[in-house]
Amino acid sequence: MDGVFLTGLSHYAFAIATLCYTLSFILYSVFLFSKRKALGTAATITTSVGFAIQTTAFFARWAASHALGIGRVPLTNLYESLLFFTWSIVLIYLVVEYRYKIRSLGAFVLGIVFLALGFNMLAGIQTEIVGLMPALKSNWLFYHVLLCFLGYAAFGISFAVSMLSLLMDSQDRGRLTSGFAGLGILAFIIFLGYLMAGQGEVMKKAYWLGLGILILAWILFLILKGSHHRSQVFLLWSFAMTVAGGLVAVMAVELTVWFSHPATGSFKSHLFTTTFFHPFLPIKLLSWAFVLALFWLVWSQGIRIKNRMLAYLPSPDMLDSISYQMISLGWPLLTMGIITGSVWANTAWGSYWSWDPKETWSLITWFLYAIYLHARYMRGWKGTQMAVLSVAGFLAVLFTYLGVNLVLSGLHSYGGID
Amino acid sequence: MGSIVWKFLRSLRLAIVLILVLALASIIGTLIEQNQPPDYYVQEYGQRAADFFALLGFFDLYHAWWYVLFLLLLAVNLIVCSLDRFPSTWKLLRAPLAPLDDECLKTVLVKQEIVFSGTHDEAEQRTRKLLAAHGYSTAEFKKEKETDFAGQKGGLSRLGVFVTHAGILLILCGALIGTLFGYTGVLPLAEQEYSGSIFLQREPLFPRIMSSLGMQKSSTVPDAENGLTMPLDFYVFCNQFEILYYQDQSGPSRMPSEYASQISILNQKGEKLAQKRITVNDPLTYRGITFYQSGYGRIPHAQGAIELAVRSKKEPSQSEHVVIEPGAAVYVPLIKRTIKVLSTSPYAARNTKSGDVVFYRVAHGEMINPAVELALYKGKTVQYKTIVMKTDQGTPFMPEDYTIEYVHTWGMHYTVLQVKKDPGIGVVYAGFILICIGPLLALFGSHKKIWIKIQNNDNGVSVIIAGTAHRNKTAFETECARLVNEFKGTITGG
Ligand code: HEM
Repeated sequence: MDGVFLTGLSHYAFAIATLCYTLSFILYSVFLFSKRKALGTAATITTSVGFAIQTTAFFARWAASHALGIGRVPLTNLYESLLFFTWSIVLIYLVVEYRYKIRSLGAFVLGIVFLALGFNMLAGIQTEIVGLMPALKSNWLFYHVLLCFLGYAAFGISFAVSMLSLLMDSQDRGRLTSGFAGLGILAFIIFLGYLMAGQGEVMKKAYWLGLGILILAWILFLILKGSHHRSQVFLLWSFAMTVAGGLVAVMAVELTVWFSHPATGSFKSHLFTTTFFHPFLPIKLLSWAFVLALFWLVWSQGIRIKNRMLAYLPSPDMLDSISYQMISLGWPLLTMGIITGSVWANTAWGSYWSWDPKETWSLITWFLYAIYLHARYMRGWKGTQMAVLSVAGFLAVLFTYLGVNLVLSGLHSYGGID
Repeated sequence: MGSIVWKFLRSLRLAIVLILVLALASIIGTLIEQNQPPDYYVQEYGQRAADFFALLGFFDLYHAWWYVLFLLLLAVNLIVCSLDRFPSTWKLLRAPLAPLDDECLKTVLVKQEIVFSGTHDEAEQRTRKLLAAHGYSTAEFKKEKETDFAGQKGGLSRLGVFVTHAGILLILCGALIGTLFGYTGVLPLAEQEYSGSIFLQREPLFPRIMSSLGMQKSSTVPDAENGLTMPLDFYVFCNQFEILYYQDQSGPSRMPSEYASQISILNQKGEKLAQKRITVNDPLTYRGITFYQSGYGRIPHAQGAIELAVRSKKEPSQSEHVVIEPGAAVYVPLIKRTIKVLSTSPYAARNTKSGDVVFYRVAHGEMINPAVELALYKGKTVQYKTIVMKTDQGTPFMPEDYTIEYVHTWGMHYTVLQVKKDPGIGVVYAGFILICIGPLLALFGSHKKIWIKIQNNDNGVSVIIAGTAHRNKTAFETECARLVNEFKGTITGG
């Protein structure tokens, strides 16, 4: 068939699949709070339909590249790999839903899918099918990407499950004052960041570094002392949900802008200049106020959500067990993914490990999940600690995948953001 | 004292701390650019910070003494832990199967009693079939009124951890061998040029240590321009280097699709020992030394010489290759014509309908689709002029009974080969294999044991089914439930 036709077909199919997943996300979320079983069934159906369409789109894109005389597996740039990531995560999720007969995870998993697809649409990433540079022309690339992303998908589900079990584990959210303290800290961090970013590149770097260290220390603290500090666990949960919720909201705004003027600039420069760094002061203030309000909402309503969900959610042991199953599926996949990448590097450049930032971050991710696997054998490490470890692991996955290219420099090809 | 050290070194807590420290330390190395020249760091961080970071080894973090020390500690931790645990695991695996006793009955995961309506013999038959069908290796114990079966499978899964850990040790060993005895060098070669030595950044660690101790002569020679040169036992000859470009609908695009060098290995006498067309993902290995296609360059001011293939239209097997420099002319006996190269262009494309040729500019002299304008002489008179480009396969304007193809431009580029010797690579790959298999064994498998006790008592035959698994316990419970059902099913069915 004609390459141009196939390319068009795959683009449309991806768009329809994205719509299906968005619908599923909404359905699963409503299902969580209403007791309507029909909604859950509908969500499963839309997800499965979306999955089937996305599978078609994947193969159409593959066929298109052959028809165009390029002949490459559609797994070779940021756009394609994000699509494949969402595909794998939906696949694994459908299996989990079928096996454990639970639908309450759907809202969280499809939330991740929605974020990934929204990012893919808005980031202004290259979507054309172009030839591969010679170094990327290797069968190892295919296995490398396939294995890594299947692994990431399993980790993604473990992350969603862990966020749920963190919510379940935070019994009280502490006194109201600690909520205000959290809010105060958030406001202070934002303000400090704003001030320091104005002081030039070095101060900006120092700010991000300091924030990174602070978050690391907090996570370490929670891992070591977790179950004794349930209000801290809730604070972490609220922060994470605020970030995710904020991103969803910003994307919704962006989408409307995008539909009225398609292809406006790149995500990185655009996302922030239309919100937090908008030249018009009221909009700037509004954006920041929105984040603070969102945090306060999540903080004050989180426990209520929990109490409503208590009836649908599987037991904490079950959540723990799903999370563990997903990591023990994902870790061997990641291991093989790293190894195939390493063998590939050795055939292409004559060195199986060169400590480039992307490689190193994949190793860090691998280390974190190795800690998770070993921590199970430590006495007293369960529930909260394991969930925090799994969350930290997935943060490392995200950083390996997106952060390295956005923040650090490297050799890998997934950089095409600007 | 010894036992305290042993306990410390085998502890899982130490393992977790070490892995965590390695992970956190590795982050630093991704934030600071590694192995840059000193000036870069002074500019980036200021003199004082740069000095301080240099002291901590942050600029070559993954080879800093303390990082390597942590890796070594991890290795020691792994070895001690494995030595500590392996014997008991091994004993557990080798232990002969034994009938279910009361002690064991208390600790099993699954336990179920069935009243059997058939005879004792029938129950035995069923059990044998069932256990075999589920892949258990079994042992039978007969007593007066009782038969005991014990079965197990998946014992290998207990070894998965050791396989994984051994894989990590092998990789570390291989990396060590590589740094001691291996090297990375470069070898730039122009077309038709050969060389018997390569350029090195650094001599391998082991000979460097030996020569600094005065125990061995250094195998390298300092070179003013390029660091060190090291002689090889053979010569490397570059026959040809070419760059291929992707084609799109309108012709060749500016995007390279492949870099390729024709490389031969020659001995002292010039005899060919090996040869290969190497591309970016397909190197040549000769006697443990591997040559990778790593780069290329344009030879300054080179004009290049154009190789053309002249082929008879009637008998395509009759052909002659000629090499002509721009502006020069060559007589071709096959067609009794003189070919003169009037002009050349690095990037031309032909309109498929009209046949018109368009010439494009290139930024750095890339030969994307080179073309030549030719004049064909019969004696001293010009017969006709034509343009031939690389992607034409004999299709352009060829009025006489032969075609002319553009084969190659000689002498424009030099290729850059990366030369690598890594005697540790075999060990590393062995480690890779183990570290892929190990987790699959450890995390997907499970050591399962099943006991079936058939007893005659007053009201007939009773059967006790019991089992344990060392991981994936829920999965094992469902498996056992199925097993029990199958047992019952065959009874009622038969
Ligand atoms: C990066 C280094 C390491 C990796 C990738 C690794 C990998 C693994 C894996 C995949 C398992 C199986 C997990 C499971 O059965 O749930 C495991 C188990 C284990 N590892 Fe490691 N390991 C590492 C380092 C260490 C070290 C340094 C020690 C030393 C104490 C250690 C001690 C253990 C122990 C005691 C177990 C549990 C064995 C069992 O009872 O089944 N590991 N390791």
